Amino acid sequence: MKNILHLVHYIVVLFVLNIPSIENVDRSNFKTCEQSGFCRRQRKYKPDRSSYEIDLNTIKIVKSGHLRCLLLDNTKSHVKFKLDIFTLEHNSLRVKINERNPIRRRYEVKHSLVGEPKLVDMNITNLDGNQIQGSFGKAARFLLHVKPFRLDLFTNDMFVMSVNSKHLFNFEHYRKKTQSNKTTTDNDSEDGMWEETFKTHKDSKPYGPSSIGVDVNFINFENVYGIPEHADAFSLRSTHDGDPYRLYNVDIFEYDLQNPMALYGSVPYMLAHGEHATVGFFWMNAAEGWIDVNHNKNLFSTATKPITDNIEIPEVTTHWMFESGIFDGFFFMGPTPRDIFKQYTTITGAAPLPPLWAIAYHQCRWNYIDEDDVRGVLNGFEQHQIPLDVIWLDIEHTNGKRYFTWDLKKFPNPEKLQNDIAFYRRKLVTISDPHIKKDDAYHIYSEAKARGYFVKTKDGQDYEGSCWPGSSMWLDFFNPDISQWYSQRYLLENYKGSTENLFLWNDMNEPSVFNGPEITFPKDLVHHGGWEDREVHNLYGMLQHMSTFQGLVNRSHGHIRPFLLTRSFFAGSQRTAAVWTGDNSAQWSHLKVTVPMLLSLSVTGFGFIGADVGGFFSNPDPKLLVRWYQAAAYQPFYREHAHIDTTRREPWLFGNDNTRLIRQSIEARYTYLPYWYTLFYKQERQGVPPMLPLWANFPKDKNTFKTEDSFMIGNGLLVYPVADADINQISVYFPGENTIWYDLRTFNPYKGSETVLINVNMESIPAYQLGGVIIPRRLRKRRSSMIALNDPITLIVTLDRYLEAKGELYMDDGYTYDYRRKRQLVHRRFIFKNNELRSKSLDTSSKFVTEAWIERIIVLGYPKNPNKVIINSGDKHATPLHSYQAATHTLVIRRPGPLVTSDWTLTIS
Amino acid sequence: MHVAVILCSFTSISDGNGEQTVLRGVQTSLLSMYIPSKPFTCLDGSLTVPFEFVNDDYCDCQDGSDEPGTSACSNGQFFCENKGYLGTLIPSHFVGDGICDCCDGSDEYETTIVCNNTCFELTQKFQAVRDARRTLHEAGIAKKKEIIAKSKAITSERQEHFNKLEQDLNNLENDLKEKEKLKQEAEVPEYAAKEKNQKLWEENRAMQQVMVRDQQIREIFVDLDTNEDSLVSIDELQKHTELDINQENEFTVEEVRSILGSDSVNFNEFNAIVFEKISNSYQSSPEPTTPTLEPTPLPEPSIYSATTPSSILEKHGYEEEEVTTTSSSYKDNEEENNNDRDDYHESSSVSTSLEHEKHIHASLAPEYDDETKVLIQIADQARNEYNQVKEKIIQIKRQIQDFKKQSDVDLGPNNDYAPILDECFDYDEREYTYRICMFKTAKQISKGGSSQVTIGYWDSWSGPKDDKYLKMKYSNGATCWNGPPRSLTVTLKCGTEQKLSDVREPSRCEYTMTFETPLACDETIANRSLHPGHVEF
Repeated sequence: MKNILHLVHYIVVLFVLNIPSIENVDRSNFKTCEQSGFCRRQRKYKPDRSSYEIDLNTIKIVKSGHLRCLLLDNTKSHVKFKLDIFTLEHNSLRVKINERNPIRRRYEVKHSLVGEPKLVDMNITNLDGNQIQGSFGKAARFLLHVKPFRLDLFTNDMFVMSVNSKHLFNFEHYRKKTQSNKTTTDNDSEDGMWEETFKTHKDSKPYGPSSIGVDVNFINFENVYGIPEHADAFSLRSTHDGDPYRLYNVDIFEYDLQNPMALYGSVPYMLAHGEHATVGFFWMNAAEGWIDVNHNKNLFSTATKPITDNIEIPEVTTHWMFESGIFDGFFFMGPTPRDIFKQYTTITGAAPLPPLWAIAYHQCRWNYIDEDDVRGVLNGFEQHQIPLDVIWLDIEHTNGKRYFTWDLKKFPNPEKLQNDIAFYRRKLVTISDPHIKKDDAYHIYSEAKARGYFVKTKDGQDYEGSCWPGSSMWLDFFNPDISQWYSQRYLLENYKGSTENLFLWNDMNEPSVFNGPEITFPKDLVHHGGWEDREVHNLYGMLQHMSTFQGLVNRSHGHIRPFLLTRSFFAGSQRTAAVWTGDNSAQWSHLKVTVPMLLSLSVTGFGFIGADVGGFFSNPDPKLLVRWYQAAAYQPFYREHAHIDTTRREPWLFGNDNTRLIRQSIEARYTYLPYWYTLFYKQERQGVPPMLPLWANFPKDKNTFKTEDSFMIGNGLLVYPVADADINQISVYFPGENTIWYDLRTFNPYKGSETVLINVNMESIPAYQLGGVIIPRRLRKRRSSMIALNDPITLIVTLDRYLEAKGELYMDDGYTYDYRRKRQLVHRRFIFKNNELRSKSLDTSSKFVTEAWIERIIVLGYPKNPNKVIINSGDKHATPLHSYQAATHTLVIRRPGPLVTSDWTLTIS
Repeated sequence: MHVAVILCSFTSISDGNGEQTVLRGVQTSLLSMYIPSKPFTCLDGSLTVPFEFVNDDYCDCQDGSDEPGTSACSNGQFFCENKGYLGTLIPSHFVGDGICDCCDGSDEYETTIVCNNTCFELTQKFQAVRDARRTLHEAGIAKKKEIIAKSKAITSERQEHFNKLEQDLNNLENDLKEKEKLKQEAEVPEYAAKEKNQKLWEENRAMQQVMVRDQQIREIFVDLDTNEDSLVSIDELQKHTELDINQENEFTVEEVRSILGSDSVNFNEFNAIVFEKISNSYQSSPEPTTPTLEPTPLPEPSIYSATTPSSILEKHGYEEEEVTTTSSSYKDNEEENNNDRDDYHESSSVSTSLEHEKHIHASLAPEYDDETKVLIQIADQARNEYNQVKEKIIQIKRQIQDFKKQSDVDLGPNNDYAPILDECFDYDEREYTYRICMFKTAKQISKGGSSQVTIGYWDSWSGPKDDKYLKMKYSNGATCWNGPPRSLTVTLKCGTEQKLSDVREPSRCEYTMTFETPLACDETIANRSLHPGHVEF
């Protein structure tokens, strides 16, 4: 939603400070690596040789797929570490390193895991006294070097990753603070180990230093991706001349682009992709993190397979530093992009299929003022015949920012409002932030206060900070009882004025604390279990939205799929929430950066993602707004949103031409909903996000590895959003060798591996369908997605050079879990081959009744006008009419007519 | 994908595919375009298709005209017959969407949902709404007439007043000419008398000057003549070394002699030859008994004197400019015009000292003679009268200007909104009172009155093209923090009372108001006759 613009007012009132520049983020509010004690120490740590070594005598197989040994630091005899290696299903490896006998238990993240990872056998061979080799999975292999400690990883006999080959592994064990701040053996007197001050905030650091650093190196790769959230390039940049990429969930005001500053969410997961392989490394750690990235060339040799002498191979070296926790690294061995998606989501879970309406168009604003305003906006959509599925209410709808309440002067009858909204099967989303207004008369506060449900200071008091409502407290979601209690607040009987047509938005959940250090929790706050915020910080937002999700599931007794949007997130958030990129700005550069930002989220498991259309802060000029509507029509989460200080932005306020252009963008989105929905289903099943980098579909096309001006939807649509103000030509690269791409407006074909200058005007949304793909669409218009459920489907068949194509269609009731519980779904496979188009079920045990039928089949690239088209379905057959346009090789089959649920074969002769 | 792109004619016609076409959704006026025995040509003329293609649930025409009765085309129109109510056109994508859009339910013929026929109720409702509207407008119009009548009276009064002003102006301008003539006539003898007096003073002053100078020379001579032999000798003069032109060396006898021209001079010689040479350097002997050589200040006309000719002229020029100055500075000029300058001076400034006052008066010319005084009095009188008339003219001109400015405001059709010109209305809301003064300003006044902010100044009528007088725009209000200048749009609505019925701020600093007024009532609506029980669709 928003941010600290109002904090600014707030501070001015409270403390009479100067108003900082509103142009950009005030960087001085956030730490640099140098200002973060552990980052400073870890980044400085550069020994010639690692002092860590494996104690060979301790190696043992705990059970099948689990090897354990001790890791020693030869400079500190008293500190011992245990190292656990787990070989996991789907070509994955997990390595945990923890202190053997820490004086304080170290935090291990569990919430990211979708379940206990499944072990698979490892085949151990002791190569010599200094190496242990383990094979696992599909031609994957690890090589553990004993002295010094180092781990090399191979996939298909290719050396792909290496841990500690740069000797940066550095584990700060817990230690006792001596009176002089010095111990005999360790160099702990360094500034910032036992206390740190940032601006006016003191971090008491009662447990002293506890950080971990390690180098993870991607051999023979030139590009690494992921570790969101940063407003930066998709292919990560080298950080040697600046700060490392930071992972620390904070509420940042008017974020800058092209820099590694932390944003609202964190996913410590990095992928490397090259022509030969795709691999990934996920360090499950929720503390503050910093990651240095460097692109090098290196000479490499390994004991088992020396790489040709004198040949430099590229390498991306990365240096990971976390303030606390343990080393809990997952290595995904690929080797294909699709394998990687599967592997990562096997560990952290796949984003579930959202309700159909949630992937349609959303209209939001801070704030729709009252019921009349909401109705007026809905009427506007009616009047201008623009489809709409969801309307949103930001914080001002509440009674004084007391969530779960309504400002009854403005919203005297919220149930009626929701029922009216539901008339066209539309939905309402309200906001619910984690800060709880300190007010004894507020039922949520008083109950939580009485039960001791708030996060505590280091001294055990309820922590009090300020946010929208003024003085506030924060629920301690780390306590399962509190999470459960919180989830129950969403039940219809507890959330007065809510109905089953109301869904949720969790904002400010980094959490945002206006007067906290770096606008968030002090690190020495204490959560349930005695864990400091320092150890768990990046989980807070996720725990809130997980509770909200559970509440929404329980609200319908597990019948209706929730929808929920969160600003803060962590690895695993994708299982329960959609994510947006927070408070962006109405600038062309911000429109542009949506692609790299969303791709970074996509490849790290987040499929249901979007950016505020038009830009949250300030007023977009109409051209920018139109371009944004066009671009976002092809991005997963499609929501217009604007700051309270902006002028109104509903689609019809910019003149008839712009209204028409915006309407067309939204209509285009609706025509693709069957395709989107199918892709979201595939994501749930296979972990493949709907929005993809080009290399995910063309892994061998080097030209795509740094691409961030375009993206793909599924494997069939290539989208080049126009993101420049005055432009009448764009340069489009068509990926893949021997591919054909069809312009969906002109039906012009383009050849792959070529860059083409394409003319654009304001109508243009450059999108191309790959030859060889069949995309299901609904060309009929409706007021909302849910009332189009039974409308017929048009199949767009674009033929490849073998005159073949295939595609899928998934459908269900659009909003319940019946597709899981009762298998009420239809999942079809379409194959066009040898002049025949067949539809068959991909899920024969499924059953779903729908009137939806195939009304039209458009075949692009069909060489000649056929004589006859026959369709057979069971014992029925018909000869639908067809037309052929020789100039564009376009064959249109009119009303073939079968139900989408039926098997049929269409034969062209 | 645009359906339009795939528009092309199909090559063969199958028997089994065409659905029985009822001319569902076709509006009555277009029925003649849909003739079952003939091929159908899309209404935009772009394509001709077999008639079986009409309403066969497949979009063939770019304009959607082949599918008026189905949802196949995104841009088609479906005609709800709505028997008992108004026939209406709805977008054809409303057909079969499970929502009853036509009151006869005809748009949902193909779905399983049951639409109640609501046409009768709708008609009643429509009639009720229409009647209520008519009644409202009728009542409103009555009020409007009253208000306008009242306002007409006021307007004609104002017009009368205006006419009178113009008449007055005319008269005054004539009067001014008269007064100017009188003034000039009075000023001529006054000027002459003053000139005469002036001349006398000047002669007198010249004589005095000569006498003073003579006295000074005599005093110097006596001063120099230390041995009192009625001669100034070289040694007597030599004592005055200040007279030495060449100050570096001694004051020699030769030098002294060159000044005296001889060894000694008597008074007459001194007066004629020596005085001029030494008057600038000469310093009297230490005894300060001698008057200074500085000439006695001459009586000069004081700038504070209102009765000297020069000051009158000065002021005259000032007044000429005066006519064009703005009204804001008017008051000051009024004071400038005050003839009694001494009074003005004395009353408006704190005198610095009594001596100073005396000095000024002492340096004044002697009083005019009685005859002149009388002439001045007469002239002052004439000037006063002239200025008073001038003053009145300025005032009237200003009133006329204001009046004309007001009449430039577009007060709506037939000047209907003239009655609320300058009228102010308040709207009380939780935090603020909103006050609009029509065709002037709108303000937001905080409850408690601690602050008020202008949210706009009258700008223009801003309704849609066909209904310009529906909305008023007030713009350029106080600028918002980090935002645009505030502005306001007022929507006018027919009501029986004049009041603000709603104030909102849909975007930050962009306000909207609804103003109910009989003046917005529409006579044609009010005059629509009621036909109870009869629906005229």
